[in-house]
Amino acid sequence: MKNNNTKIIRKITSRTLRANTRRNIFIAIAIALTAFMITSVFSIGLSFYESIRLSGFRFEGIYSHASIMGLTHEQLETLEGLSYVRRVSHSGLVGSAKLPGHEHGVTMFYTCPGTWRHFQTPVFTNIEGRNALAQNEIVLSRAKLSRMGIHQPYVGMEIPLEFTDSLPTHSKTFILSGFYTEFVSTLGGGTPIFVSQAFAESHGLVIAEDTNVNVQFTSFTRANELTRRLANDLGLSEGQYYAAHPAFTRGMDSNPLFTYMIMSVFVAFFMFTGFLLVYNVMYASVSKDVRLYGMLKTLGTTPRQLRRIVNGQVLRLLYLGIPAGLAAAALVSFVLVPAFMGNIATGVVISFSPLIYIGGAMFTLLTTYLGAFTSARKAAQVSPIESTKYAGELAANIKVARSSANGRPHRMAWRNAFRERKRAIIVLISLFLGVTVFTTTVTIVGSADVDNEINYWYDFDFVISGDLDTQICDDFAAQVASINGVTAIHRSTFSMGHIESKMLHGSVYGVDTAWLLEIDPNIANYVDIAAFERGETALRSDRWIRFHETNPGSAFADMHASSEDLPIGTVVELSLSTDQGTSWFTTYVEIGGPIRRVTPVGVGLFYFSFGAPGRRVELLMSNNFLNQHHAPVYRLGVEVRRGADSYVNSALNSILPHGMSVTSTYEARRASEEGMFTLFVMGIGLSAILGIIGIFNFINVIAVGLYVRKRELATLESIGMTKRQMRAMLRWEGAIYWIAIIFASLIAGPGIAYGLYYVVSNQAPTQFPQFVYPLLPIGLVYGVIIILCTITPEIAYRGISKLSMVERLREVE
Amino acid sequence: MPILTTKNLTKHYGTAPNIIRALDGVDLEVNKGEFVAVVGQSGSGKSTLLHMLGGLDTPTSGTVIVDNHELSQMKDEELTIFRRRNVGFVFQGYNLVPMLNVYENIILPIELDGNKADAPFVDKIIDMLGLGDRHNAMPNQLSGGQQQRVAIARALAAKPSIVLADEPTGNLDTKTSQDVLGALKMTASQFHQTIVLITHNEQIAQLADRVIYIEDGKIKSRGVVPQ
Repeated sequence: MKNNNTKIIRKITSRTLRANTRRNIFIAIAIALTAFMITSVFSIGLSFYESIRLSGFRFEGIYSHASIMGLTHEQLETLEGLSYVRRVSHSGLVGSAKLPGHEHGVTMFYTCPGTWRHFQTPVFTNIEGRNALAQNEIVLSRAKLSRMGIHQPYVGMEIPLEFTDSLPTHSKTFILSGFYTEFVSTLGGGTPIFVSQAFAESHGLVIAEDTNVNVQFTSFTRANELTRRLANDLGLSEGQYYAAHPAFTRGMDSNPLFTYMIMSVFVAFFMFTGFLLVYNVMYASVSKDVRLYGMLKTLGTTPRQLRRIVNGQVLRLLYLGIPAGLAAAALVSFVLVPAFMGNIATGVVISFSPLIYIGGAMFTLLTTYLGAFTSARKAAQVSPIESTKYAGELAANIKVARSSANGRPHRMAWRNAFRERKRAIIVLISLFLGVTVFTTTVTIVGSADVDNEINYWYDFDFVISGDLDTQICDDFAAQVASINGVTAIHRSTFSMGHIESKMLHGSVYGVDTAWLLEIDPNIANYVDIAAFERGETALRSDRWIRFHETNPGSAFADMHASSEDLPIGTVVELSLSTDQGTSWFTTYVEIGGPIRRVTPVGVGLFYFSFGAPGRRVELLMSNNFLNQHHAPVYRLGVEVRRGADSYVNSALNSILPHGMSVTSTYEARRASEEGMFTLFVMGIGLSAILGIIGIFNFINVIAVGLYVRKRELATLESIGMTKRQMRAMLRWEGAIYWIAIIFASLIAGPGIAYGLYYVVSNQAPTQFPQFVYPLLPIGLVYGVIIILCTITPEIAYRGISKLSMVERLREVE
Repeated sequence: MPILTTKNLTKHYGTAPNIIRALDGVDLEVNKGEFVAVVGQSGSGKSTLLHMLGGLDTPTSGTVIVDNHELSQMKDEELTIFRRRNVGFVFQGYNLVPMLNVYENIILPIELDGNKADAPFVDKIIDMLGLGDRHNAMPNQLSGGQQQRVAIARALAAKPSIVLADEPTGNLDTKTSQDVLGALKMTASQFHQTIVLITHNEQIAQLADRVIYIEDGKIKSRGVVPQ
């Protein structure tokens, strides 16, 4: 039975397509929106994700999936032979050098030759030259060179250095083989001086035992799991610390299954919204043309040919919709991504993965075919006899009340509104989704309290901090205090600490006891304040401990102290760096606390990648005690008069010395508000898209419904229904929709909004302290829906009632 | 030799006790080249009979055999293909495809079958029906009589075994009706086509070789089969 009838099918397809311009626009928009939403969300998401991950690596100064400390020769050999390990880099402490412009000694690390190319170049920028290979070669960051007074470095430049290793001080002139820009936290001192492995070997540094080993796995998505496997395979013992890179233990990479689920939910959601529109518009179109399809079938068009005609129309619209959607997505990705993520200091990665665009196109194709499938089947199943009498569908089980009130407009409307139940339900779902996304967005944004968040996280209006080499001197503090609008300044000292017996190391911050009492008046109830002031009590910060306890099983959490490591009330021997890090002293302190935090600024993770072995901990001691041991002031907290933020911000930035940075509630508030605004715009955008889909659907259902009922309406008029009664009936038909949507939204809306609020407030309790259900904007949206549902049937009726009743009766015969 | 046969053809709508017997045991034979008119009042079952003969609807029981093919044995797809090859329809409402022009409408069943139209044959039909200058006109540019002529041309163009016409002049005035029927009869006899015409108009029925009367779904008079 096969024959070549492609030509005529094509002809009918294209002619039918040309006869339905408005419908085509709706479908092309639906297709474009679906392609746009799927592609742009994934494209922006991937760019954002990659930018954040890059930021993680850049802050740490190394592109590594996992790090291990103190491996033996045998373990290192085993490690290199593991099937899931792609690359291994080793590096180690060689000594400490005195650099001009640096008050403290700067650590010198050797790195093996492969480290530079695969582990370091991805995280540095503006790289000139190469790594240190010869004994006399050296690599430095631009920040260090600049502090040394070298503003225009060049490869081959001579760098004379004084350094110490296990032997007394040496002097040597090195050759600068490379330099770069780094992003490693300045508080951690930035990247060290890098020298060659040959240099390290000449100084007797053995490769294993004293080295840090960084590993890249064959699959970075399984970094966390592979790190644990690696620990097992190497048989790591106590003291051989290991951790997966935090970029893989947090967020998306830590739980790929969850990530895929979230992605699937997004794809399914966008496909569903696209499907709603394509399905409804196509179904409406086939219903409208049911007589045509019936006639074609009478003349010998087979069901398969009819399906081809319907699908062919959609296919042609796909040619238009998909490229338009993908182009819009590409445009948004390239324009919006840099705009949204411009404040990521380490740079923005714009991800243009062809796979996302191919995937977006495929999913859109699938959505459209699913949407057109039912309509095509309907066209194929049209009965030639029934089609000639088609006047819309009648719901099978609407109860017909036998009362004299059936002629009343609202009763008639009730029976008409759900004639095509499936389509009516789809209209209700899409409008309901639009309203719900809107109410949820305004609820979340309305519930956000930026001030509450800022007050929780920031103890001061401004915090000025420097790196270990930039002590805040009294002159500068006085200069800050004299700025108009500054009401108080608070100094914080800093010392490195080490608790040998517990293998714990970390930072010890000094604060004024009076200030501590000011921010937490209850502290006197559980801490001996006098002992704290004397330096006999150190308060334990729970920042790392909380991370340890909320991420059990994470390889990264193993690097942090737990509350069992340092119980409150124990007395420990604490070694503290003194005299600006040049010497150490030991004291006995009782552990008090805990307190929620000691600083809003995180310490760079670099310490862990290249640093000393042991778990991390943070302690808080009194300024009074640390001052006695010449601990440097590393931080200045500034309080300002209300309204003086902006002025003080610019004044501080104008006097800020090199190597210091300022963080402020002013900037944080602005960033937080910008974040909320972005969320608001995106939420409103999404609800607008859903709303438009719902409105398109509604207009279509009403307009096509009236079109196929043209004869019925003309008949009603001919038997005496006035235009007024007709309009009242149609208004009631619209009213049934808005009543249903608003009713559903009132019932389910607050529940859904509260559910989402509950989730986000659990993640950020300080940002979302209280559930607020904003009645005004929601009321406004309800108003828009009421107006729309009222005027649409009216306008549609005007469209079909232009002809006289007799003409309408005759036209459909 | 009959080209069309029905045996005990019944079509019932609804369920007992509200059953409507649209056709109630119709036995009919139409010979090749014969022009038969089926006459009956409104609701007598004549349109239902035509739908059954053309395979547009399925009978409750009984058989319809067209050119040795039993229609009730065919599936939807098969039946549609059989219809476009063997049955030509002329409806009261013309049923032209609005987005195709006159010529495209006429050759549509042939093209749907994947064949090329027999151009001299189609041109001859077009000329005989007086549509020679309307090749490229769209249906909405034609008068009722012209549209029905196009429908007749379409019914004949595929050289079907049988042409079924359902009140083809129902929407036309007397003069046009006579012209259209005259054209139908002339072209059919020229090409030895079999025609079954449904009408409630006795005068029109008299143009046929044989008149069958139908009432309450049953044949009351079969007329005289021409020898």
